[in-house]
Amino acid sequence: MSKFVTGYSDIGGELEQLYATIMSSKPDWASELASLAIAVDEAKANADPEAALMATIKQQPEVGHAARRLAHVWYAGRLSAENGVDAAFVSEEAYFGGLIWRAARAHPPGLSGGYFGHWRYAPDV
Amino acid sequence: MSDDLDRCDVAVVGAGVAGALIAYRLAAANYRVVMLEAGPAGRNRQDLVADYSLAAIKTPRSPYADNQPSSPVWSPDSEKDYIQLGPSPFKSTYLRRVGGSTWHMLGNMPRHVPADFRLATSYGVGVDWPIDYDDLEPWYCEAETELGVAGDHAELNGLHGAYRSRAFPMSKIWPAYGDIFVAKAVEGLTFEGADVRVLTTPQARNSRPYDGRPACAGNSSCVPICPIGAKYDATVHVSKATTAGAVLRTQAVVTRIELDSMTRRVSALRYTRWDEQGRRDERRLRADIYVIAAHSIETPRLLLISSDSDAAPTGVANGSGQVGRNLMDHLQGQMAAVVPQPLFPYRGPPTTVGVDTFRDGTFRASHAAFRLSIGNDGMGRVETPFAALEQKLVEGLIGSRLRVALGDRLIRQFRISYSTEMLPSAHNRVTLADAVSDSFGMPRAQLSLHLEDYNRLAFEKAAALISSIFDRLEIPDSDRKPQPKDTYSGAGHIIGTTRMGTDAGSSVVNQHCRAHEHDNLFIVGASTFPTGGTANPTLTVAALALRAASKISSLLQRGS
Ligand SMILES: Cc1cc2nc3c(=O)[nH]c(=O)nc-3n(C[C@H](O)[C@H](O)[C@H](O)COP(=O)(O)OP(=O)(O)OC[C@H]3O[C@@H](n4cnc5c(N)ncnc54)[C@H](O)[C@@H]3O)c2cc1C
Ligand code: SF4
Repeated sequence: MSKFVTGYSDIGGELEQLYATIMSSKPDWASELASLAIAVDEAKANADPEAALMATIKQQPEVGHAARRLAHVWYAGRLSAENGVDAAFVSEEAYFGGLIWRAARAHPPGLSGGYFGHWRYAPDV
Repeated sequence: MSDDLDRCDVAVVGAGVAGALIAYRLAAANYRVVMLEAGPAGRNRQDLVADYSLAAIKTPRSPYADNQPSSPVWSPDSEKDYIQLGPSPFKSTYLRRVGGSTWHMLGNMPRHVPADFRLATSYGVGVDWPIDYDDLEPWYCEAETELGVAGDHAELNGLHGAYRSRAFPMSKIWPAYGDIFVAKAVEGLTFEGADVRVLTTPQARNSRPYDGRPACAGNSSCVPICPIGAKYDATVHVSKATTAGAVLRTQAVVTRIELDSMTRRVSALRYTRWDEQGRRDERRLRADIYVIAAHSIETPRLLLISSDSDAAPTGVANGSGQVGRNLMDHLQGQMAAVVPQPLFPYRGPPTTVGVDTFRDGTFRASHAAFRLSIGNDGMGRVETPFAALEQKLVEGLIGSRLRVALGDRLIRQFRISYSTEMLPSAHNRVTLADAVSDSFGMPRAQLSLHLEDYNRLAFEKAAALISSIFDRLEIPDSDRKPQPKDTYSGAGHIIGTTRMGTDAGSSVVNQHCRAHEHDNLFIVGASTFPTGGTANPTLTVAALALRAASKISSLLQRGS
C-alpha cells in the first residue's frame, strides 16, 4: 500500500516497520488505513489504478485523509502537521530517508553522500 | 598554565572568532592567555547533526540543545526572543557557545570595498572609518589564510577598487548547476546603466582538504551546522589557542568589568561559573590587558552593566555616550520563483555566486548599497519543500503522479535575495532593560530599530533588478513571489554598538580597537564597525582582530 501511495516501489525495510509501529499505536489511523487498503485493492482492478484511487480520494474523505497521511510520513519523514504546528521528525533515519529529497533529485540537508563539486552538474538519476 | 590561575597577561571575554583569533595569536607568542566563555563547549558534531535532523523547523539554533531556552545561556533564535522597543524589529541572532556564532553562519567571506571606509567623504552619508582599505588589506590576506577562504582571485581582484595583494589560499567553490544557468541568462544585462555580472562568492568552506579539515561535500546545511567541518567555525582557533597554551574556561559568564577608580584602567573581570546542576561559583580574573569579544549585543550590554559611579558613571568606555548606539544589520529580502527550466537546487552550498555590481556607486548618497545572493536552496523560506509537498497532497495527487509533480516543482524552485546596508543612527540601539534580568542577575538587553527610506528605496531597487533577471529567465508573473513591501529579514550581521573613531567624543574605541578611556581595554568584533558596508562581516571582524592582536603584542612587549 505504501509503495502504491508514494509511487516508489523500492521502499520498505526498517522505516516501514517504524511507521507501521507508529500508525498501529494511533487508534484513529487504524480504521482510516483499513478503508484505504480496501480502496487500493479496488483501484488495482482498473486500467489506471492511480487515477481510480485519486477519484475515490475525492469522493471519500476518510480514504483521502489516510492517503495523505501515509504519503506525508514517507515523503517528509514526519507526521502531518497537527493544529498547524509542524511535527518533529520521527527519527534521524526518517528525516534523512524522506522521499521528498529523492523526488527533488537532491539529498537531505545535512547528508549529501557526495563529493566536492557534484552540485555543478545535473543530477544523474 | 594551570586552570586556577587568577592572573594572566591577556584575558579574553568570548570564544567566538574574534576572541579565539586574538587568544591564538597571543598564546602562540608565549603570553599567558585566559579565555572566558559564557557558553558550553557542547557535544560532538555528530550529536548536533542528529538533533538538527529531528528538529521540526530547521532554525539556526535547532542543532544546539545547549542554547535552547532551558539553558542559562539560551541564545535568541528569532526576533521574538528579544525585548524589542521598536518601532521596527531587529531580526538577527547569535549563539553563546565555544566557537560562538560561526557555528551557524553561512560562511560567505567577502571583503569590504574601499568606499565602505569613506562613506561620509565619498557620498555625504554615515561616517568614515579611522582606517582605510589600504590599512586593512594585509590583514584581510592573513584572515583569509587563517579562516581558509576559497575564492577566485582573478575575478575578485580590484572589485570596486578592492585590490588583492595575495591569492586566496584555496581556489573557488564551484558554482552550482543552476548558478551557471542563471549567469548565462543574465549575460549582457544592464541595470541603471551598470553591467550586471554574476561573480563567485568567496567562502570559508574548503574547496580542498585544508588546515586538517575536509573539502566541502555539498551537504547544504551550512546554516545551521556543517556536519563535516568543511566550513570554518571558530572552534578551529579555540583549539589552536589552547594547543598554544591558552586556558579556556567554559560556562564562565563575565558579569562585570571592574575599574580602578584612580587610573580608570580595568582592574579585574568578575565572572560566574555555572553547571547543569544549578551550581554557581563567583570568581575574578586579573590581567594586564583585557579583550571584550562578546559580539555586538552582549558587548555593549556588559559595558553598560559595568557602570561605576567614580570611573565610568554611564558605563565602561561610554564617555561618548556611543556604547550601544548605531546598532545595524544587513536588512534582507528575497524574490522567489518557479523557473520554467530545471535548476536542480538543494545540492551544494546554499549560495555560491552573487551580483556585486551595486555594492558601490554614487547612488549611495540616496539609497543603500546592496548585494544579491543567487540561491541554491529552492525558494528559501517562501516555500519549503515540505510546503510544496503539502500543496501537492491537497491537490489529491498520489503515487507516481505525486512523485513526478512534486519533483517537477522542487527542481524549478529558485530565489534571489538582496542584502542592504544600514546607516549608523544614534536611535538604533541596545540599552538595558533594568527591570528584566537573566539567570545571572544581569539586566537583559533591549533593542530599538527604525527602518529608514535609505533602505526602503534600496529594497525597491533590488527588487526591480531581480525582476529584470527573472525576465531573462522568462519566469511568468504568476510564478514570482515578491517580498511584501517594507518587510525584511535579518542577515545575522549584528554591527555597530561600540564604534571605532579618532575622536573620543563620538566613538568608543580607536583604530586599533583600544578603548579611548581605558588604555588596557580592547573591544573587538563587528560592534566596532562605524558603518556596515555590504560585505558579510566576519572576514573584517577577523582582520581587525588579527590587527588588534598585533597591537596588544607590541604593548605587552613594551611592558605598558
Ligand atoms: C544565520 C547566520 C548566518 C550568518 N552568515 C554569515 C556569513 O555568511 N558570513 C559572515 O561573515 N557572517 C555571517 N554571520 C555572522 C557571524 O556569525 C558573526 O559575524 C560572527 O560569528 C561573530 O563573531 P564574534 O566572535 O564577534 O561573536 P560570536 O561568535 O557571537 O562570539 C561571541 C562569544 O562571546 C560569548 N560571550 C558573550 N557574552 C559573554 C560574557 N558576558 N561572558 C563570557 N562570554 C560571553 C558568547 O557566548 C559567544 O560565544 C551569520 C550569522 C547568522 C546568525
Ligand atoms: S555545503 Fe555542506 S559540506 Fe559544504 S560547507 Fe556547507 S554544510 Fe559543510
